[in-house]
Amino acid sequence: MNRPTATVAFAAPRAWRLPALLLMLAAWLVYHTLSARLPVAQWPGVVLSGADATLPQLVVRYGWLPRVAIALISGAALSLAGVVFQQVLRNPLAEPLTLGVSAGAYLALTIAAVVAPALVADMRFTVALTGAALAMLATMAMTWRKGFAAVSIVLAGMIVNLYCGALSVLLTIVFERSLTSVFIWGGGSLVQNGWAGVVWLLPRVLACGAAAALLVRPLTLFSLDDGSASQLGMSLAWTRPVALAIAVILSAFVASAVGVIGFIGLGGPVLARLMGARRLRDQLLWAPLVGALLLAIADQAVQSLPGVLGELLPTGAAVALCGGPLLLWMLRRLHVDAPRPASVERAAPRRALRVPVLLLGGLLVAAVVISLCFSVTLHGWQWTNAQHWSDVWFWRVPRLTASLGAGVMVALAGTILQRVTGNPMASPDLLGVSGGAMLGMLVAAVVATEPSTPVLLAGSAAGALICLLTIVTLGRRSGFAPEHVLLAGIAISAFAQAVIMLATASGGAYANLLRPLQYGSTYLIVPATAIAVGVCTVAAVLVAYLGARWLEILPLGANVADALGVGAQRARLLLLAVAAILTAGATVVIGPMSFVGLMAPHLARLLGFPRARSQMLVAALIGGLLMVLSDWLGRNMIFPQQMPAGVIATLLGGPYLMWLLRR
Amino acid sequence: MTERLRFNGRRRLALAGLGAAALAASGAPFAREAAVSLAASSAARAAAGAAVASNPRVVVLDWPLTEVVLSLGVVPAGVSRPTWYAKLDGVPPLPSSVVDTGLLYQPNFEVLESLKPELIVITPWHAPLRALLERIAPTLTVQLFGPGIDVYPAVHAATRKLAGALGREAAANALFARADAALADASARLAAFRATGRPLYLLRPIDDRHIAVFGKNSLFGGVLGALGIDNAWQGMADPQGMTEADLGALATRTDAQVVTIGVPPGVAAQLARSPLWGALPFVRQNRVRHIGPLPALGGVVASIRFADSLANALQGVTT
Repeated sequence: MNRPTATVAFAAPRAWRLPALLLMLAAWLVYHTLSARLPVAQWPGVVLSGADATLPQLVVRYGWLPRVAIALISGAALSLAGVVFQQVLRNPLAEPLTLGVSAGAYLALTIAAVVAPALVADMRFTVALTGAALAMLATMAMTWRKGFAAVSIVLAGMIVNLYCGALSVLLTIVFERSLTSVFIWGGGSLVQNGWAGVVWLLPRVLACGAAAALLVRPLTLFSLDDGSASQLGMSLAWTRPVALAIAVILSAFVASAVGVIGFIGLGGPVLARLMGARRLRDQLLWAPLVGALLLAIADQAVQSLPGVLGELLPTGAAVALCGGPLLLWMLRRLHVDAPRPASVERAAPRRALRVPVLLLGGLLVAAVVISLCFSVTLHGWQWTNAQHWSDVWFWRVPRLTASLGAGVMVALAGTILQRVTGNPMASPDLLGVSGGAMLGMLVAAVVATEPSTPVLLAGSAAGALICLLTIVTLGRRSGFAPEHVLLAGIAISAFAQAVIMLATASGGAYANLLRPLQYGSTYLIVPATAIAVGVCTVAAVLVAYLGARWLEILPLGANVADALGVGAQRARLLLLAVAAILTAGATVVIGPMSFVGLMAPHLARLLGFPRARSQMLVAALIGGLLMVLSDWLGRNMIFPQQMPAGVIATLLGGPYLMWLLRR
Repeated sequence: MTERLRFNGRRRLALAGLGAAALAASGAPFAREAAVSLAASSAARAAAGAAVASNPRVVVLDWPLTEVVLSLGVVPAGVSRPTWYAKLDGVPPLPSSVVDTGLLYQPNFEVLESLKPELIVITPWHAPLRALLERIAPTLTVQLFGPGIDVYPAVHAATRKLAGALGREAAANALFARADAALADASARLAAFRATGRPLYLLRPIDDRHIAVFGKNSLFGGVLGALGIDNAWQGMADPQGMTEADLGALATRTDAQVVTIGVPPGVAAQLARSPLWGALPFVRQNRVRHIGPLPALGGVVASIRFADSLANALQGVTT
């Protein structure tokens, strides 16, 4: 086999600047936080003075020092896992968070904390590993038949992610008060109280590292496609599962030792590549080093924050907080090699529109009637008769209207985004637009003395627009390459989640109030909101109808569009703005994590409606139907508690989408 | 605070019956009064005789406020997630007849409406719901905590406010008298500890790495103040008076005594294995005492229970 020479990767002198800068920053921060705890003269005593050490020396020995060590080890482990995932799956976006592995571990731990709290203390690793492995298996099972195609694997990962997230949310709502320690763990806290954590984690990470090193040569072949690799005499059949198992186990080790820490697995390898580490063996060496420094820097920075903020802010949230913008900045320089995926999967033959539309319309009407009239009361399930109608209409009609409208809007937004970006994974939640809307709403809720619906709506729209403009600005440079757009979206989502976590982590009661807002619920809908959402929906349908021609032409490419007299750039921008406004309107009602925006357009296409106008019509019907059903289930499923409709929609639609993906 | 400590014998005698009725099932410390009081309670209620109906239909959307309402001798018609009131160790216990109104900040409006309450009691954190709740019944906002508010006096003000709204002023006075007596009793038993001059950390371990600390403005922090004991935690705390800290943050006060409240199962053993926990001066010098689970936020009854448990826990601590 012809191997390239080793010196090429580091030929450029500037390749050393970045690690040197990181190292200096880390060293300065370490010096800063340690000297704030202990005068420099006493530093040697931390290690040397044995049992005679003073109390501050003991605190450094058993608290501060192991925390630095665990940050370095965890950062290296996550980054290593990221490199392996990305190599094996041939996907620059793969990391524990995007593959659903972290979410699986978190869900398993939440369930354990509810079912057997004593289990969590002693068997954290087993529980976390079980969850992580199951999530990974689910992701793999969905993409097996497609030969683990890059885009479909991240799509499957995100679905697993959202699904586990939705289940965790349900458990959180019902069992909130017994989950305090799980929340801390989910935030990724690196606090240590001795060397036990380091002693536990270090040998395990080293073993995984050694195993990964042994696999360098077979792993390198994953840079080729499956066919060429097999011809070179390698069995992909065993290398892939072994390598993935190593990465999953690494993620679970870190997850059980310190909690969920995202982005490092993405950021470490990206930075290593930017430094010039192109070949796998260079990446396997440099990415863990960069990852270790990144996490240590983030953790030290958190500790140097003044007062309560430094004590309360979990490092995992801080990483996402700095990581999001850093990734956005890096995107300008990142060259994504992956081939562009086929923009549209043509699964089923085209069908006549009338029958499915009538069928879906009929189902929608039936759902509306059931939702309005059939419900649990204090005396069990009851049909609401005319005399009770005056009591209940005020509570049910606005919710129904808003759910229906939100479902239609988010389905249209998803269709538009998927067609404009030529990206089957584009959806308001994956592109970070929902996260931005959520962020805007949060700011509005905190700033306004009395947050009313119009204020929330305006904040939400502003947030969604800002997010989308950021993505558009970044995407324009790369001609809206799907990976670029998605990476930007994930970065923004991570940033929004970090801010929301920050807002909910500080101040108990405030958190309890904000948490339901964050999940999104059709709960606080008054007639005025319902009317506003209804009007938006009607306008949305009209605009979408008018934009259908553009949506038909744009996926054919900018050249074709220009030749047909459609200004591709202008059309894209306009359509994206429409999608942003639709998302904003929907987010107020169903929250950022609805999944409908991803699912409805997919279903429409898989049912056999690839053309823009029919896809939008069918998607809108599906979206509306899903949300009406979800709202009804949310109201009645565990009466009298009410579940967020957006979360129920995720749970409802997820399995179907998983099954479709497998086909 | 000194006013609370004064032992007002006459008032206590006159109203003991009513207060004890409210506290009837609040466990061993109150069993004596409970036995005497049942007969007296109906007479006392008649004496209270306000414009409000004898047992007003109230819905309470908060667990600490549920404790306050129950301690005033009123059984609410509905409460958010009643199981959580019990799981958070609420006393007096909630009768099983009380209707579940759903989640704390997302009560089920249809259930509320079908309960036909005369009054809905909420916290300031329910403000976004208030306009909708007003459609169903008059709504009373009662604040127990918030930025810049000390929980302990706020609890007394809230109890007065609720007593006024429910026509239970007499019950409130009896309750305050009970609290004064309990504090005076606890204070006397804590004299030896007070003489050591040690500050006190009140801790609730969350897991082996994180600990919730009760600050000065918390309910129990307020009780400490009333008992003349210094709170060792001088740092900031959230509006409920709690803060989350790592073990290293507890090393600043080397002379402190520690009392832990409601250690979760398994965590005590984990802490014992931690070298950092073992290095802390109060652990080295064996100055850690334990109290069983208590609600971190509650009403007057919770503060009485805490004062009593604290006095029991620190009995015999003289150095």
